[in-house]
Amino acid sequence: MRPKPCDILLTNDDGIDSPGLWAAAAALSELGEVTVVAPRDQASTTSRSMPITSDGIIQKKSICHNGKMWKAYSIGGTPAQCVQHGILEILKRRPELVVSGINYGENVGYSISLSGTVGAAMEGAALGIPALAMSLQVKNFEDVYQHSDHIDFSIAGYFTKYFAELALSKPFPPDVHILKIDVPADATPQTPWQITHLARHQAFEAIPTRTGPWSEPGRLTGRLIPVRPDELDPGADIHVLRFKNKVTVTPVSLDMTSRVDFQQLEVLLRGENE
Amino acid sequence: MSSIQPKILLTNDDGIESPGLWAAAVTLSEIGDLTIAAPRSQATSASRSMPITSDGIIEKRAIQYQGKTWTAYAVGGSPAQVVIHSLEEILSEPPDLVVSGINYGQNVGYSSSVSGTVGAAIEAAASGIPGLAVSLQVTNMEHVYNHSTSVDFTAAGFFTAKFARLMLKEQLPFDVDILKVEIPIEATFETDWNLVRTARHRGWRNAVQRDGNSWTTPARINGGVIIPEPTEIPHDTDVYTLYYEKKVAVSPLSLDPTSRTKLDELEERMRNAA
Repeated sequence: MRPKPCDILLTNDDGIDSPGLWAAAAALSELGEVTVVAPRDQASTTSRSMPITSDGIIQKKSICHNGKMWKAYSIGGTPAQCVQHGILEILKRRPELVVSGINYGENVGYSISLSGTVGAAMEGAALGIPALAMSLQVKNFEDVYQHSDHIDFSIAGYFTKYFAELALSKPFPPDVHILKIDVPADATPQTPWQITHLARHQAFEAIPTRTGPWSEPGRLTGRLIPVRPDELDPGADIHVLRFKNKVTVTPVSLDMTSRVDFQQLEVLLRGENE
Repeated sequence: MSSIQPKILLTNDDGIESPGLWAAAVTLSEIGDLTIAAPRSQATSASRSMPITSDGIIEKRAIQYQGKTWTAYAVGGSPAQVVIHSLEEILSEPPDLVVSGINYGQNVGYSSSVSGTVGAAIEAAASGIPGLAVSLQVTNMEHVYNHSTSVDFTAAGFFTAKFARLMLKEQLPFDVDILKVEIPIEATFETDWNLVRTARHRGWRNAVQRDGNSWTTPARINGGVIIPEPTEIPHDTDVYTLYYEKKVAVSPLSLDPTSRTKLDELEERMRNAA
């Protein structure tokens, strides 16, 4: 299917030691040269942020995974900054594909704009490179922040390779910049996939954990917001992932412009004030 | 507008001491019951991130500005986290509008998803509250980071209140979750505004500035504005309106970044390629 070996930049938001990252590395290495450039530290919920406080230090590492030695680069920065350092400094030529993941936990509905996994894919796409954002549903929310060994990423790895191969075989159509893929926790290679749109639903909420006064630290924790199937459009990612147990493939655009009729909105805004 | 004052939450990404925030505070305090809560530290390019390292400490401050004493809350967190702490802890009931800005520097094209100014508005919108993200163009890049008092926010303050008033008066149509307003540096109260899409343009270039020759020395990724030639950019975009028409660019944004491509055609194409 592919005329030549290709270069793939792989990153994530859970950090360079995440088993989800290495499951993707193993699967993608069958398709081409995989360069792993990932955050030194846990960078969940970092969105497409590029904090001015990141140190940008790059450490070249040799990591042994599944009996194979891998070259990898850890970065003092967010997933989006990993993509920048990868492309501006580490890779000799532009990769054909940026893959981000595999994330511990689904990225669906409005929460995708929070996700560092999706943020890295956005940065790749904004540099003109097709991107995949891969996430595996986890049943226990605690696993989002821990790198639990009991999570099996092998099926999510299978789908990472599957969709990477598809993305490499044909250019994305106009206005498709990222494929966001969410794999059900109990998926098998036979699990069907479906193209979905993003659910118009706040899938995750952040809650302060403060017990003391405001002058003491009050970190935010998060929880998935439960939703009933009848509250969701049947073609929405949350519906298909949680209630049909299918792999969801959501084409995402970098263009956040509303689909509203501009003439109508203009009339509304000009109104009597003008 | 009803006789009861509408409730407005004001935040930003440049931090609580930014003159841009205070210019917005002055004009917004004339149209509603204003609560000011902003990041304790500079949080430029924080996107919608919610870093797990934020301490969430809330400090109530009395701030002197233009001969008046204001109450404001400095929060240890990103702009999106400031919105969460405000909704969950500071405010006794949800506001009618969340305003973010006025930012030092334009947030146009694809770079708007990096912006903490826009990130706070996205967070508000995801909680069901209309968000208004306001930015003032700067032509000296240093002003993006240094809160220079040479930047005059008077006209930007006027437009902030103008669009805030419109959003409080009119319910925005479906799929318009945020209004993003970009103000040209030379704008006056008489400057016209256009309703435009966000440009399919990166908007921003990045270069790594490393302290030493080795990757193990700290580095920052610096930015610079990319201004495309007028022939390179459609006229109905924020980029063209701001740079070439020198008008205020108002863009309706959606929380739903699903691609506008035909989903059934994409699915067929991918099934055939597999």
